[in-house]
Amino acid sequence: MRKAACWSILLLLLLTTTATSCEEDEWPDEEYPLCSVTGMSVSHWDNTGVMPQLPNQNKIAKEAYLMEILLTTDGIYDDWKYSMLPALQDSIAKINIYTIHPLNQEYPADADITSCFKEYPLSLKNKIDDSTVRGYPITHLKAASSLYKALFAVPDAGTHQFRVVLTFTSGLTMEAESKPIELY
Amino acid sequence: MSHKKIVLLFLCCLIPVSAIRAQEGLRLKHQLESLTGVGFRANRASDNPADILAANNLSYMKLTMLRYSFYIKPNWGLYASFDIYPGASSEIDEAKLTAPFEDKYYVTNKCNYDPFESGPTFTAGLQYRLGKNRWFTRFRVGASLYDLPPGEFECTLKGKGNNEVYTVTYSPNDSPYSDGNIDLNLDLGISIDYRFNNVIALTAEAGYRQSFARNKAYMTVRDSYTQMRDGYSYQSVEQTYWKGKGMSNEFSINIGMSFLMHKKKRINRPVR
Repeated sequence: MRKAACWSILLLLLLTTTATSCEEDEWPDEEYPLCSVTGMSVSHWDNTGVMPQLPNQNKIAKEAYLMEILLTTDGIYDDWKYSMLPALQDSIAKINIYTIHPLNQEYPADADITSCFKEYPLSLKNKIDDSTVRGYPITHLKAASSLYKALFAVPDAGTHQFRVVLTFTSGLTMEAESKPIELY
Repeated sequence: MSHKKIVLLFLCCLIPVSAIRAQEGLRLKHQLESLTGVGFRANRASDNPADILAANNLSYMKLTMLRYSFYIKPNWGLYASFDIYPGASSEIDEAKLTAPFEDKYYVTNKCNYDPFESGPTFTAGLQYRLGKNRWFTRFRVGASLYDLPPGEFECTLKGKGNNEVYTVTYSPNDSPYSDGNIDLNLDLGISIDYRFNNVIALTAEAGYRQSFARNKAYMTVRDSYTQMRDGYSYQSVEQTYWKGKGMSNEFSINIGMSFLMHKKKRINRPVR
């Protein structure tokens, strides 16, 4: 009787292990699509409200200036086919922001003001995480990806214009200038 | 024959109701119970954030997985029980918690996290029973060593007219590092048993739990911009701790089954 019980328990164990385990699948070799940055534009946002808004009469309060760097690529992103974003053939190693007019006493014309900007933490349209601020290059992009940078230095009141320079890991650079904006 | 009658007849076959001699009911020394029911918190709110966080209309399912009672005297016994609380849900008065920030910030992404822990609670105490034939009433006084904490509340502050963004978290702890508080609680209970025979009984009970620890709340304001730097942690800007005026209490209503036993010899012969 006891022997039969032992055997039935063993049999039950065997049945449950075979019924609940499955063969481990190997990951399919996915061919990730490649892409490269084709364009860049810099735009201004007025961040006085809950959500950033387009500037009214080209004027923004200087404490609430938010910059959007829109990067466009030639990659086609298909959610159904790929689980990852298209990889950049030449990844972005560095993003620098320069001021064309003097920003304030500390930053004259053509000064590098990258450190005055901080990555905006709230989620916005097409927003991607800028890993270059932590020292890692940006390797994957959607067809349209935006970086949002909030200005934390207090600029002098007046008209300002910024230039954004992307440096790729290959050493190539790409530049874009913003339109003039009045900060008050 | 209608469906109802068939079901009734089936139930009658399952539970052989037998005659119970009045004297023997109190001689059954062991009782095992398993119950299920609902519990809810009945805290009163005040202006203290600790009390606001605790007065969260908490409701949960209360499962008494097992309660064992051992009667040392015919009327007096000791009991120990093991409870869990799955499916807790809460509703915090968010407006009161965000009010201090409203004039300087827009409050967005309000999020009320339900209590994460769901027990288990161990309760032990003294039990008194009285009754005869089929109906028995039991009174319990005990102590339990765990409490279901209130949920957490989190929101995002966006500066009015500037780029500032902060994350505010209210948690029912005394420091940002503690994630659970083991408190002593007083447990009171009253049960009514209906015995089908000397083995099986149907039990309905009501319980009350009073905590002896005052409500607490810990608020952390963190700069959301610093989160981006290393990708994981934030830099906290402000930390405040409150001790509330009230202590949390809970009511529960349960029903379940009891199994009674007597170790030495069977007093009742199974009646067929």
